[in-house]
Amino acid sequence: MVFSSYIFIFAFLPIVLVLYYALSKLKSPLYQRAFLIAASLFFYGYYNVMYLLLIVASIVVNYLVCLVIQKGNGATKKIFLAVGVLFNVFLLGYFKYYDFFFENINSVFGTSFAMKNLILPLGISFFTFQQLSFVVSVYKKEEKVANLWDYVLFVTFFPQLVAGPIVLYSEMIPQFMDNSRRYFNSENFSSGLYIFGMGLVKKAVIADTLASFVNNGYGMSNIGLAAGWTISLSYTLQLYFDFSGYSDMAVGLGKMFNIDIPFNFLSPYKSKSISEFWRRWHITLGRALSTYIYIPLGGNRKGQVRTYINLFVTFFVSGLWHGAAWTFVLWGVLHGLFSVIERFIGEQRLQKIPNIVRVAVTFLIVNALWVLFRAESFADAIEVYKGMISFGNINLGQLATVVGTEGGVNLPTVMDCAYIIGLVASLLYVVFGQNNSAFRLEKFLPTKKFAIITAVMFVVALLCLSRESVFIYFNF
Amino acid sequence: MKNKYAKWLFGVLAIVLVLVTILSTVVYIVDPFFQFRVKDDKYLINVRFACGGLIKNYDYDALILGSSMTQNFDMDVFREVQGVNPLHIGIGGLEYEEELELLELAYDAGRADKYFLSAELYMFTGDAKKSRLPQYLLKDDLLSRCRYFLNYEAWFRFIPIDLGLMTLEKLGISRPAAFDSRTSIDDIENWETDFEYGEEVVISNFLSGAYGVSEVGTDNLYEKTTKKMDTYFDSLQLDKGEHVLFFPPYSMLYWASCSDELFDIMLDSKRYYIEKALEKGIKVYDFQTAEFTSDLNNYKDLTHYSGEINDWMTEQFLSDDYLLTNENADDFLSALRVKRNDFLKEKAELFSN
Repeated sequence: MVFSSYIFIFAFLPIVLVLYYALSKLKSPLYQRAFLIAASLFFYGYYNVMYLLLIVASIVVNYLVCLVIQKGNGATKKIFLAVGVLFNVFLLGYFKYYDFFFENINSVFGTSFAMKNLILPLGISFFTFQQLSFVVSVYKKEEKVANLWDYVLFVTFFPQLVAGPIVLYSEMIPQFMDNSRRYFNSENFSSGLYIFGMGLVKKAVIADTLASFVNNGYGMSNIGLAAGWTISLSYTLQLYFDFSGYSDMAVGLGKMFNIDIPFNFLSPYKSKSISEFWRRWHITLGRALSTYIYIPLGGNRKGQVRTYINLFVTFFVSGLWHGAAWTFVLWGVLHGLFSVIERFIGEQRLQKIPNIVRVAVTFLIVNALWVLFRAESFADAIEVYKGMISFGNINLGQLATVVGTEGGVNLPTVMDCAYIIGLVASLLYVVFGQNNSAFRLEKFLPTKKFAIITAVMFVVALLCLSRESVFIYFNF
Repeated sequence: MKNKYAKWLFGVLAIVLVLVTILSTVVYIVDPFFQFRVKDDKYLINVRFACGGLIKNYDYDALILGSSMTQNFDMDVFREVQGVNPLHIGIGGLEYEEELELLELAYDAGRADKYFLSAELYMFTGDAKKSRLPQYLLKDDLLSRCRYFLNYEAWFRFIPIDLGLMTLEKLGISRPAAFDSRTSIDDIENWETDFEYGEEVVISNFLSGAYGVSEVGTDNLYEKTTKKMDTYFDSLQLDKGEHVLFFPPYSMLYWASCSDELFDIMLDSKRYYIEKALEKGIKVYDFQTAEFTSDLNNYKDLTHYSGEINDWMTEQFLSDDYLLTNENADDFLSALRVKRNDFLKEKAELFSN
């Protein structure tokens, strides 16, 4: 189920909220937790019941492994750590990388392994990574396994199940255990509704409009300068509004249940460097990669060269985590390369460059690399790159093809150009000139102004829901 | 303090309800997709959004339904020649599922007593497709109405343009000429003047690969196609009015571009279609062997012909020259094979690669 759908907003969410708080009248909190687990599994299995078997199997195995690690000692702990890690890597590898791996084997060795064309189970990258990190934390004695049901709730809690944020056991379980959070709290609910509405607008109104341009653009050939930049900027903006919109909705939903879920985005395009970008973009993934890959590899503690290698490896894994294709790998590697270059130049030297230049350069790099991230092949990416540097061929008229007949209207070319340029420019102003959701949530007050903003956001998003679509990060 | 937040929540709910009521009222009044009333020459029309409302609410007694092959039918000619009050719904690449949906809607509306339906084999050759028609515009239940009142296309695309056009009219300013044909119900999706016609254009498009015959797998194609045809003919409610089916006159280049194997299957499928139609007593016209089909000057690409040919077909519906019967059907099918072979010989240079 997706948050930005009628079925979620008008049926699933209200029913779950009403029943959840009705159950708070019962003395034992277990009923509420059990209900939340059942609702989350329903949410997860809504489109494909077979997914449920997978997630349940993944939870049971990881939980048992964690129990053995916690109770075991010495060799047993190590063996079961290996079992836990291998199990999760295998699960992800099988569903996500099987075809990619054998496709490459076939092309290198001339073999003919058959492809499985497996459909990637929803959110598998997220819940596998979350559990893998928990297994490692238990091994390091940073976390303790509670009972099975708390663990199940930690993994399946529907606001963050499918596309993160990738939360830590220690930041979720104490909240579920906290009795004071069991009851309806109008203050939390109000701020949750406000931030959920903001996320809904980001996704349903902005990202889905840009999606149409991007889909049209990536099917084009002989792309000119205007279309090249419009396509790449549209995707850069789409990805941000789509994923940060989802994350805002997750935070908002968490608040409706009195659970604080961390923000995943903090104005990433305002970053002055690639390293800073990764501290502001998909923050919980960056945190997990740093904790479970960069630091165990030695982080920056083993000399300059090792630091560079460690950075490089971390970004390589990040690229691969995002998708089973060489375009993703190259995207990750190039982010790693720019991070290494920044590290090599040093923050002190970089600080001598005016901030506006640093932000602009960082944004241009990120924007250019998103082209690889979106492209289905290197040839697709090259088409867009060629457009972005075809200075002798502006071709404004091509923007009409990028707009297409979005929403069933075929406007005159001039209107199409004005529409798309105006929209992209306005959204660039929003990402560079406006405050992020976390800041806005802090400033939230139960005033008329916020009531009108929230209501208008809901109604505008409601209008846009009639063109339902899925979230981009569901694919990762 | 808590009370303040509770009040705030009720306030949000109240504002949402007020806004939803206002939006719904505006959609009801403007009615951009003709769900309650039809306004000709006023609103920007996209056939996929307007067809449901038109079929339900337009004043007509003959329905012309088909793909882009029907989009250039001139309704004035139809009125004059056929003496009917027609509604013309031509949807580019109309799919089998969509045609059945629209036919069912038309049967329910009960306005037409004559149905002109283009008979196109491509509709029957493909796998099941998802309809591109917004379902909430085909139904009248409460949920569909809510979706109409609060839908993206109406609010973000059509209503702003429609209100703009209405404002221009109120101010006495003539609207841009480009909108004239796009607001006329008679001219829905008419593309006659949007393209160049002629042999040179057709061949250039063909050689560049811009237009060609869609690839169709031939495994079990005849079985799949005829199975779909069975369902199609079972779905026709012949008691609702006279049904006229017609095979549109694609250019001979189209048939020549099909592989021999595909052509044979298409011909066998066509034979099956004709037999089924005649069995049910439905009139079927076959224009695919008309003389002009070998002359590419009448076309813009492999299949699409100029509006003059639509006018010609309108007249032919009154004659028996192209009307199929159990006796002449095989002659028409054989004629198509002969014309194709002649064309292949005549234009052999086009197929040398």
